[in-house]
Amino acid sequence: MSHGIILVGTFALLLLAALVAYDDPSPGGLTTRHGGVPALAGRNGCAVCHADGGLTKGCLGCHTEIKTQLAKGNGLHGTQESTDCASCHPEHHGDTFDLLGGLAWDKESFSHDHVEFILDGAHENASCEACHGDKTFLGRSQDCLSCHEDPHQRKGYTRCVECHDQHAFAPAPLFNHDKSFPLRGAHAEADCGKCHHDRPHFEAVPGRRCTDCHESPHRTKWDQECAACHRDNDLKWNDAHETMTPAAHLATGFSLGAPHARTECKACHKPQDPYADRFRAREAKDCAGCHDNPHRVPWDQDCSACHRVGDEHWRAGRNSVTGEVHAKTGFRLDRPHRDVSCEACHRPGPDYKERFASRGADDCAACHEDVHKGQFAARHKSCLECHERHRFDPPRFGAKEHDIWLLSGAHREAACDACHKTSKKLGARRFAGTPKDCRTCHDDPHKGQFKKRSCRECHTKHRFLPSRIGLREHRTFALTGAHQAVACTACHVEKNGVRRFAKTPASCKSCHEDVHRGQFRKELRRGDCTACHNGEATTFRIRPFDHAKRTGYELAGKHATADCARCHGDGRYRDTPTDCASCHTDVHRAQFRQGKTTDCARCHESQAPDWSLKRFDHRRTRFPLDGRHKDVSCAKCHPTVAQRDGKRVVQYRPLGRDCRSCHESEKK
Amino acid sequence: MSRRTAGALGAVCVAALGWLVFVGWDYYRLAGAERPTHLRHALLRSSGTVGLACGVGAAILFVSNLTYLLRKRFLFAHKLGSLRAWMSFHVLTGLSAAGLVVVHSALLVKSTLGLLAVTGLGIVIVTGVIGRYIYAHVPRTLEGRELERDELRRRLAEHRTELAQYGLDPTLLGMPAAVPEAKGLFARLWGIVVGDRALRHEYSVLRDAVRNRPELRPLAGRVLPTARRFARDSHRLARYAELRGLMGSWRFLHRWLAVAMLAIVGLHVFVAWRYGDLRWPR
Repeated sequence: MSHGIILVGTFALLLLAALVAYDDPSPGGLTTRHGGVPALAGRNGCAVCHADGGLTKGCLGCHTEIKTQLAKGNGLHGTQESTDCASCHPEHHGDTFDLLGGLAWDKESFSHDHVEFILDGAHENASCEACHGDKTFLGRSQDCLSCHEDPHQRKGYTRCVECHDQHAFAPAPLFNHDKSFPLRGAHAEADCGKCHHDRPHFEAVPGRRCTDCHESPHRTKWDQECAACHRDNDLKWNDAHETMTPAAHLATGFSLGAPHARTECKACHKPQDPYADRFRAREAKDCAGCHDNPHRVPWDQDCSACHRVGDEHWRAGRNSVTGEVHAKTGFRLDRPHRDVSCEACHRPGPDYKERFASRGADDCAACHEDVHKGQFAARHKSCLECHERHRFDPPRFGAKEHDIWLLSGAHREAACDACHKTSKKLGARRFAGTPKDCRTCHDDPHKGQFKKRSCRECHTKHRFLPSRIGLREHRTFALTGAHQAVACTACHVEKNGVRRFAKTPASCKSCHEDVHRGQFRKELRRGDCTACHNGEATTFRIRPFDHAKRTGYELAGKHATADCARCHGDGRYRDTPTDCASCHTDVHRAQFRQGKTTDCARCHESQAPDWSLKRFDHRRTRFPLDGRHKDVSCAKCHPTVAQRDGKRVVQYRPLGRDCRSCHESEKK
Repeated sequence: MSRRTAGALGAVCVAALGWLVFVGWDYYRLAGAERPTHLRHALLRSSGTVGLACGVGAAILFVSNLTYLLRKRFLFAHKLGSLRAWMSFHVLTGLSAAGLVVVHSALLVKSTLGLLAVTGLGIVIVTGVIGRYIYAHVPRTLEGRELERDELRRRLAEHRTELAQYGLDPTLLGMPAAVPEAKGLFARLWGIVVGDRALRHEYSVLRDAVRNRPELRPLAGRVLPTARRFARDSHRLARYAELRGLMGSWRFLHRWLAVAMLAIVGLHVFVAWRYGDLRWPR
């Protein structure tokens, strides 16, 4: 073969390799999910996932919904510390690999708390697929109508939870008719269909005025509300106070106090005027409708701002502005404003306009100092978004409004100042920019054992205990067998007041007492207790133990079925004597003893089930059996005799070999 | 590097690799789709702590393996040790790299590029083993330098003189006739195998001649090694041109296949560097 052929062949092979590699540089087949995506097929597909900014960037380029979760910190992905997609969803392991398998998540033990949608009522027992279909289990919209049909057929109305809870659609325990239209009097007795007769889905009946539903029986048009004379808790409309009384007149909005109480009706309702003019609606505050304005300067507010209708004289109201009067200026003197002196707000001064400057009722900052030092200036328009109008503390800002960092679990119960402490730098309690890291507020009970890891890898935001770590998550030491039923604290003990989790030794002896009292120290050094015991079983039973191989003493015959304790009864396993006499009683009463020991195996097959005399050969004794002796029973020559201590024993030795030692008695 | 040192190092490498495979066997025996959930996946996968270290180690060994060529090429490099020792180093690094590649692959070749690299490596190793077999047949000095034909002839004459002094039959000690050269690479390779069989026959003739002479029996310890060397050199002289030619061609083949294999490995490294998530340790 010439060198030229070799060179050409080599380069041809190299070219072929390059072409094959160029066509398919993948380090392994894609999963079914990704394999079906045309954009990921072939050599051009590599860079889609393996983007310039890294693999994670490539993944998020397509999985925008996960990107959104990560950005917002919500959903399952938003709670993960790691953003390395491949750590949970590795690729290139072939089309049989499940991207959403055990490495990604454990569907059975998944706590829905992660995704801020607490499963309650009927949702608690619903299958995952009922809401998520067969898709990726990624965040569903928490809008009820994304899963449920709208029986009310109101397009765009999504606040179902205002009436319904998660247990059932009907009844709707949170529904309150008073929110839209209080049902009192005759309305409380009326059938629903009377008002909602053409609205089968209980859509709101348009309008709230009586005339929207009822025709007016009055002869003339009446601009005031019917409630001026008729009360909504009357059972019939004509239960009303048909006879105009001061109280009924008051209901029209015009109180007949002094001095009007003493005025005759016709002074205002002139008989000569037509009905419409005669009873034309005059507002009580419209003093100018009857009276001339005595003031020298124009006054934009109505007279009742300073003058009470009930005063005998209009001057009597001067300088006696009550809370009610003050309310008419547009600023109600509720608590605590009603308890402060006028001067607290209207500071005496020469400028009348400044003193009685028109301040909006919601403009707290016009009088009060901002104790939050401007932390909420950009975010909130008014103090009333968080505080009640009548008090500063406690605020009405609760867990529900704490949407910048959803309060759930124990955080719902915690006092605000547990997290929002006074900042020396700010000079006020810090609310804006409060760190979200657990360690900012909580002491580390693990004392730095998991310094480089996030608390949320093991604990939820809702509670510290129980943690998320279960049997499957305990990956540093596979919990199998009896370990599955052991409490965590059995192995993770407290040391110096801290429960140890990191670097907990995995060897058996670190937790378990050595019941063998060091007999197997050497084996322990080699392979721990599992050399003999099955650590994965629910009991600490012995593995299939080859007694012959491991100890050099084969268990055969009756030994094979004997209880271990028969020989190892004192817990002694190492150096257990293997001679028969150490366990068995010498029935021959030392007739065959040689020195200090009796070797039973010289005659008996020790491992035979019947302790047979296979090894015994009478021909090797001093008296070989021949002739008729071959057929004589043993007991004929070996009689049972009583020894000195009275114990009876078959005598084998010493025994005479001469005939007379056996046959003498026959002669006699 | 002595043969014993190389052998010891080789044994250590084989033991280490064997231990790694033993420890990770319950991982390696899994199908590719089941591996990611295994506890040792981050450790033993191709880009894992052990897998990547073995891959990088194999690449380093590949590069260090090429230093044998430098030693051969440059004269001044003779200060760095004998060619024979460098050949042992060449063999050791080549085989160790192959072992590391096995661990790096996690006993599962998934990618086309990886399959090509492993196949290329296998071919280079096979040609290397055969090359080492041919290498052993080319007459050399103790330092590993190839002998010229005249040098070999002189050495053969020295052996013949020594054997003649022992009184061996001169008819058995004739100079060999040149064997006709076989055509083609594989025909020449087959010629070596056939020649080895002839060599054993020739030596057995000499050995019988020594054993049949009672006066030579006490000297057999000295005579027989010389007889063996004579037979071997005689045989090599007869096939001198064929052996040198075969060695040259086979070296050429082995070298260019290695170049092709290294190019594929380079491509594999580039793709892994460009697209892979290479972090160490994991």
